Amino acid sequence: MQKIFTNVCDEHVFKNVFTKQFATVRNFIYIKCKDEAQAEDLTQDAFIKLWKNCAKVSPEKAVSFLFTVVKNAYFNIYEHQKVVLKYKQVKKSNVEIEDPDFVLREKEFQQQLNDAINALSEKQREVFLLNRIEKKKYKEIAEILGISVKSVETRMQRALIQLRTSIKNYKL
Amino acid sequence: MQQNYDDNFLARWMAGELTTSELAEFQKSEDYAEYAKIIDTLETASFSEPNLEANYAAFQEKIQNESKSKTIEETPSKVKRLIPRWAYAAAAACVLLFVGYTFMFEETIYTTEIAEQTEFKLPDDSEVRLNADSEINFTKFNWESNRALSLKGEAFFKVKKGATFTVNSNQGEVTVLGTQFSVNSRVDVYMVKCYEGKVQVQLENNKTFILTKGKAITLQKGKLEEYTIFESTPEWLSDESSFYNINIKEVVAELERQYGTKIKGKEHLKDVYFSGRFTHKNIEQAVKTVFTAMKIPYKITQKTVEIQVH
Repeated sequence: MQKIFTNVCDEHVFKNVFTKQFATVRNFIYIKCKDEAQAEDLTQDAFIKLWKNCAKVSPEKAVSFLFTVVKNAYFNIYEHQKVVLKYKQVKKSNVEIEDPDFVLREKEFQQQLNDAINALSEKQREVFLLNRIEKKKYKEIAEILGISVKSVETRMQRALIQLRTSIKNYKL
Repeated sequence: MQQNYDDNFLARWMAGELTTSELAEFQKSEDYAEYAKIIDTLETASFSEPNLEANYAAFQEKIQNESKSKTIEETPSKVKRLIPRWAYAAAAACVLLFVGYTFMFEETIYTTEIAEQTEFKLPDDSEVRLNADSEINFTKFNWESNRALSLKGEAFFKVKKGATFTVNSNQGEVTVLGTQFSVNSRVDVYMVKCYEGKVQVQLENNKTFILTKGKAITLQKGKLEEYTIFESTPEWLSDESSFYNINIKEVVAELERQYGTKIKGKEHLKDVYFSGRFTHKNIEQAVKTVFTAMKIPYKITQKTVEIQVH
């Protein structure tokens, strides 16, 4: 059943790549630009570029192709906007009734953490969220960003220390 | 304020790469709680799901606009035409054919992740509820006269009266006219339950069964069992999973699908069969229900469930 495709020109293969990778690519660029509409726009454009170059790209290479395109597009139109990144908290709590005071403090902490993440430098935020929210391994992040695993680790570590410091300052 | 960790100590901690002794040492330090809180809080965070269909539509529109503006630019304004008109007509016909082709054969796909359910309507208003970690795809074109879809995972159908309605999956094919039924097609089990009307099930080996209201079949490990059900809709619609003589491994897989938690130590499970149900709302209770009933020792910590040797 499994056919081996050497490129993504086949409608079916392309749609499959779209369905599977759209969110990954969008979230990647969203972390950078913090604007969801812009992120989706850029991602659509990246898929257009992929479609036009479909003959040159194999399905396995499609994701890194998309990452590269979207990254370049972002650099080209980059304007320093003060927008705020949002992620949603899926609470899968096992405890059904929680102390309201605890809930409140928890909410407050989430807000502080959100602010602290927004205040990180782009490089730190990118690496940190790709790992923590997008669940990418250090090695994968290194490949996507074209940096060494060592640099990824350094950025992760600095980001975490920075977050803790910001949250501490918040409390004072 | 900062302990003197080496320059990738925290990075290794986040990746779960610390040695046991390093971790124990770190957990004793006063910084640990604060770092752990940050990481724990982010554990369940995710970005919003993009609307794939809307984005794909936007993508298609952009491509079409682009090719439109290109043809306008490229139309020569000279009296003498290098390319005769009929060539454009032919090209337009090709484009139309292509668009028509993609429209006709474009597949619509619905998927659910672990710990997620969704419901939607088919073009003829038949209703579908999709349980966790499942996928359905079908072609909208000519749906009324060709009601066929393929399913991976588990779904419940409320079919409007009309042409034959077919659910294809790896292990078999279910056809009906208008009724309510559910199909569960996982790797190791295949289950069809009929809640109303009549359904016909054709298995891979071409064996055919007719199920009437309240009848169900399960195929696991090549063994087929027919039994009676008393509910009028699947339990998973009301946040429960129910089983009738199902291999414990499949039950554990369902626990994992509903809660999005990996259950460790699955290799200790023997081939025993579970009848009963568990809730989707409280993992501790669900795990307890299943494992206590089957006398399987387990350990539950904040984030993991582990089955122990027995």
